[in-house]
Amino acid sequence: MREWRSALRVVLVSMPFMNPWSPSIQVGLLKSLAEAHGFPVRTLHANLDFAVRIGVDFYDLLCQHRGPMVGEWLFSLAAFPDTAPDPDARMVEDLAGRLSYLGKSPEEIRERLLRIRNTEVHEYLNSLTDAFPWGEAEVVGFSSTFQQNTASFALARRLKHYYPNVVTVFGGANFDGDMGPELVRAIDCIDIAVIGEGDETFPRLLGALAAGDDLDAIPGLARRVDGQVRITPPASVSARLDDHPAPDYHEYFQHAEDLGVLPRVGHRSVWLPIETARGCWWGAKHHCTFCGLNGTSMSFRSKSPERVLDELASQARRYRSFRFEAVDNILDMSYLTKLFPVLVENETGYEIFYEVKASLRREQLKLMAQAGVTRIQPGIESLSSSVLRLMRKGTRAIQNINLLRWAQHYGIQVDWNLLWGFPGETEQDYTEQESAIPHLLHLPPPSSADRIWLERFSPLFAERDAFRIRHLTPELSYSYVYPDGVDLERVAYFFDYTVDDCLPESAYAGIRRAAADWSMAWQATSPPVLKYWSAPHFVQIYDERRQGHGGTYTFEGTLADLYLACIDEPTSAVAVLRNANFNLPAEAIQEIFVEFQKRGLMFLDGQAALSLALPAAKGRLPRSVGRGQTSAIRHR
Amino acid sequence: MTDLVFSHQNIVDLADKISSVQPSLNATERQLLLAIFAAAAERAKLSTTGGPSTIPLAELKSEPPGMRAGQPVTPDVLKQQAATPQSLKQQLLDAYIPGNDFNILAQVQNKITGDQLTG
Repeated sequence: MREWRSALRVVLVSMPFMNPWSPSIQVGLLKSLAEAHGFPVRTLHANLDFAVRIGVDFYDLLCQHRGPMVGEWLFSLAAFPDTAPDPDARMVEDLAGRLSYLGKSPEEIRERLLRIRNTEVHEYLNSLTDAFPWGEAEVVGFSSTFQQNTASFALARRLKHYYPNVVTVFGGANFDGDMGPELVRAIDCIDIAVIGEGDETFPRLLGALAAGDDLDAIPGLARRVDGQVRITPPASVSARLDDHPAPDYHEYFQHAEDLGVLPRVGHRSVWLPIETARGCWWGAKHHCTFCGLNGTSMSFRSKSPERVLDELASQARRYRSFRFEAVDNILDMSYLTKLFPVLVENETGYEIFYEVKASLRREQLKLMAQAGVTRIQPGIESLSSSVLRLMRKGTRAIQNINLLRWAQHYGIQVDWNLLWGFPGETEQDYTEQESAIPHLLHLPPPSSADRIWLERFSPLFAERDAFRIRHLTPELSYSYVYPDGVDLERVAYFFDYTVDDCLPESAYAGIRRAAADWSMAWQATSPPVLKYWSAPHFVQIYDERRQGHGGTYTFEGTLADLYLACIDEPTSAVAVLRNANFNLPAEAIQEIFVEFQKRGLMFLDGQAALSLALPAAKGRLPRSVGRGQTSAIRHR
Repeated sequence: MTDLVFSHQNIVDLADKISSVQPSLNATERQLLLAIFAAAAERAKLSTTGGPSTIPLAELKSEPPGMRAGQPVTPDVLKQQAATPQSLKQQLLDAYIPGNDFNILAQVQNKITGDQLTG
């Protein structure tokens, strides 16, 4: 069987606008899966060639920015030469206000974008078509997420022109749900689309193509048959992630180093994508209203700790980098007891990124820092408990702030967003956040602060009537990208909308300004500080959250004890009394909390209080890292 | 068990307070109180230099913060635990002092480092 399989040669391509600084895990994993089934696979990170051509920094800017689909627009003429909707580049004028991040002046931006669109895209596609031995491939696969569609269509179109027998297979998040079948219907250079997870479907598809078997027997496919789109039943999601091989990134590194995108060095600092879990255990129970991730595969699955340890070690050895970026949507909480303690014990030198739920506590963050988690993206989203409730986040503002505190203390970089625009929110929700932010300046500011984007698959999209969302239309820039024949309602991932009884934009001016000030404060040479020293019944808090206005609070006895009682985690006055006898009624303790809050030293949220200062002493060893729980697991 | 640190003045103050309740005690109660004090006195470590003396602290069913094992306890702390909401508010009002000495300390540290380097 291997022999006939090895006759089917496969190329997997990652097109612009995939980030240039790390390999595509989708392409790397599909290569390993297909090769495990006996198919020879080459991978091509063609995004790198385009990044080099237009300048890696500018390319990176296009990748990182979330806004109008500039990347898709740049390739739309090449993807749809006769039917592209904006040959005259009206988008650059129409959306000029949203493109200012791309250059110093509108003229400079227009000139650069037009040069790329009219010249460099075509030269790039010509060069790509000539330089790679496409004629040796029977199947060319494209993985498409976010703005990778039109560049992929443009190349596929050329390949189908020059090599009519090549089979083009598309997949990825852009083909999930309704999107894949509609793209198959409307765009003729797509032969087959894999809808949903491709781990099992893709090798089965290759097997059927190699053997000439009926594709109707393979679940999870969409293709045109006699001018109609034929969709097979949905494939089941991969239940056992431990069965997946590790992604193969060799060709990425070779290509990136050949092109000079990465230096050729002995030890690399590249963040290697690693998948330790899929789906979202929180979303499976309470889907956050704005989240459109995990379109059709929300159920949570994770790799065993033993398998994760193996993969970290083997990938570090293969690619000579100890940095790992987990692509998981949420951390598997069992890793706190079964994975991280082992990493601590083994004293590995990994640096790891994870997306996490914001309810992590001090001891958990301490453990993660010890284990090498140096970056996290918590689902903070708001500093208002009522807004968090509206978005079904399952956390309170006071927990979010506590996570920021201890992550900061233990040296974990936090990347988080401040969002607004949820149906049902009030002006008070935002004036309260605006008032609280000056007290939080010593904590890492949000990476972005803006209105939510309405995403396909999110509850706001799926239950739009219940949320009183009106005038739902595909985000405006799609109309500058896709021809009339494409049903944007079925293809778009982002949508414009209005909400009944929504707040006016002016209601967010205060929080927008406060967030900007917060970010600005962290640009200073000395970031804002609020730190404390303590001895029994004695606390001193140094406050220099406003640069040049430093001063010290000194508290003794009861006040010191009350402040320290709320240091580790949010605590109520009643709970404080339960743990210690303060000879004061709960009401008096609550009044003292309010006094602390007035000085910006505590954050109050309902009945809970949280001291805001961080320990002045850094770098102390954790009190325990669960050593007793780790004896059964060792690095193999 | 934690030691309580006390001074001669603490004893004088306590004796004054107990003397005020003496008229209300009957003979048995007075004898009992004296016997308790006598037994306790045997466990006190008295200073011979005029400094503070110590006596093992009794375990109370509900200890105020700061009276836990392993933490030294002074009469000052006991006084603070009895603070009123009003006095705590006053402490809050007086708590803040602007300024810092970080630059001065940095200069001193630099000087020491410089001396070490040149030495």
